[in-house]
Amino acid sequence: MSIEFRNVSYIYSKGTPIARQSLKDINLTINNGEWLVVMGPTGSGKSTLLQHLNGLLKPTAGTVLLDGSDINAAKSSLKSAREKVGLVFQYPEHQLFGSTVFEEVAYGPENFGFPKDEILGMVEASMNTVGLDFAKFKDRSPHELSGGEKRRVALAGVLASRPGIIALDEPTAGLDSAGKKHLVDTITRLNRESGITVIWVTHEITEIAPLADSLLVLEQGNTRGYGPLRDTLASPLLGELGLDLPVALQIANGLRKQGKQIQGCPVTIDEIEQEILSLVR
Amino acid sequence: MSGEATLKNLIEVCNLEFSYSDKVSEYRVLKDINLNIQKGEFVTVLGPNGCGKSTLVRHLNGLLLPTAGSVKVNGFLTNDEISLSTIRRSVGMVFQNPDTQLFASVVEEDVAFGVENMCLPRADIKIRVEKALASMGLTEYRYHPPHRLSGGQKQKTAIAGILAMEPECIVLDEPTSMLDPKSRAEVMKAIRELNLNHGITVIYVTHDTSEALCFDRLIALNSGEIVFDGTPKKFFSKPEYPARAGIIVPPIIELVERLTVHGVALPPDIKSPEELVDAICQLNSEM
Repeated sequence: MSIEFRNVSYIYSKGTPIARQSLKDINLTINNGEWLVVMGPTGSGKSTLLQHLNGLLKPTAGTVLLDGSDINAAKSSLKSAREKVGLVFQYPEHQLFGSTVFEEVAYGPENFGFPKDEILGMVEASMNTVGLDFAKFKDRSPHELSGGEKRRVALAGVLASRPGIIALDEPTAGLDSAGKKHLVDTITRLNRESGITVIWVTHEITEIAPLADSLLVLEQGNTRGYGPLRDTLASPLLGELGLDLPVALQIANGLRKQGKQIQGCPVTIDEIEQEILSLVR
Repeated sequence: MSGEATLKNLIEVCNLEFSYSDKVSEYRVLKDINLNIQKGEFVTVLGPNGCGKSTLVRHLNGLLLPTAGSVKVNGFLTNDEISLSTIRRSVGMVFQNPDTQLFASVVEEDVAFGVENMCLPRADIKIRVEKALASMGLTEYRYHPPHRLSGGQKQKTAIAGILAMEPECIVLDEPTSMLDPKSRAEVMKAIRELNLNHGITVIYVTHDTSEALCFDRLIALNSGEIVFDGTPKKFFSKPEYPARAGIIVPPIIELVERLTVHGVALPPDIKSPEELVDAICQLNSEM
């Protein structure tokens, strides 16, 4: 499933004294099965961009296309976009309200009108995907689970409707290192095995740099960089904006500054390990 | 951290136990915690999700009360109701999620709320609010409604509200998990300055290992027990300490270990990319 932004602009509180332009003329093409990372300083418009993906916000100007058709053209296209594009917000666990995990995860499919006999299977499959044992968790209250487990319930709720695109806003924020790894592994599996298109907004690039395909860098609503991940990382842009670089690349850049020869744009620990070993030998 | 003032215990936690219970079972969140925090200390509390970090720090100004054992702030017991307002004036708290802390219609009002309740002259309140806004880089947003700010800006507003009250001790529960690296560094710098220049005691909860490296003292918690109390340098010097705390070793530490296995002679306490670059350049110049 693909998404295209054509000249999308968005202004908050348009026509009031506190009007603020949040997106300026954004052009994007996210292909079927692609994994796009979105980075930018606080307040750069990342979350605003995400809310355009399924029509929660409508562009002040420009068009958002889902598989070639304008999602804001009609009520029916908007409904279809909400079903096909799963949005996982910052701290999704704050939005849990069901009295059991089952109820919580089934909420999406029920509201999108899936037949009752299918829903049970959808909930079970989706809980398995995120690593929640169906029998053990289905009757528990989501509110008594740990932070990492709550996050998985929220993700399962979004995945239950089988979206073709999943967009996550700072999905690793507030998770410990083990929880982060689990989440990154889950999304990697969905992307590689089920071909889900992934849009991942983050400040932390080290863990996902080896996995993602492309990178969009926003600053104050403007596109500052956009292209294949390694090409965009190799430019000095992220450093200039004070954004995070993969640890491997931070080391590579540091060594280059000291006049050392480093090949390409290393983003994994393996890659930088090889570079350092060939330097010191 | 210097001078005689640092010899005084600000917070004393003695055999602290805490349990949540429902009709069916009892869940012990904290088990026999003993801890002293001195005035002026710069402390981080590190541990995985659900290990009891937030539960522990909520005891430090009486938001939660011990099931057994005691917590004292400046000698006052937190389960003595008469002392609570004194304790809460000494120990200010910034929570994980700014959305649940902000409520005023503009940023400036939100920052002023706490300090307005301290019966200070109006002019003093104004100065403190100005200072707090400036130190968090929020001056240009002072008339904006908080709900229209980004996540990071909201969190800075919450921190500014506590800073304006100038407490003796500030407890921050993962305040930067939603900020970009630049704002994260700004917040860390502001907190460090509060500690160095004003002697404010800082207790900072995180599971970001690179942040934890910036503190003087690291307390690691796992399954409701303190599993390490010492310097961050010592914590990362042996793999058994992070393992005991359920912390995955950060990539930089893993890389140093791998290079060492391959016979690269690196100093043992490298904890940042810059330090590794320096060490490698040193090696090359010796060869």
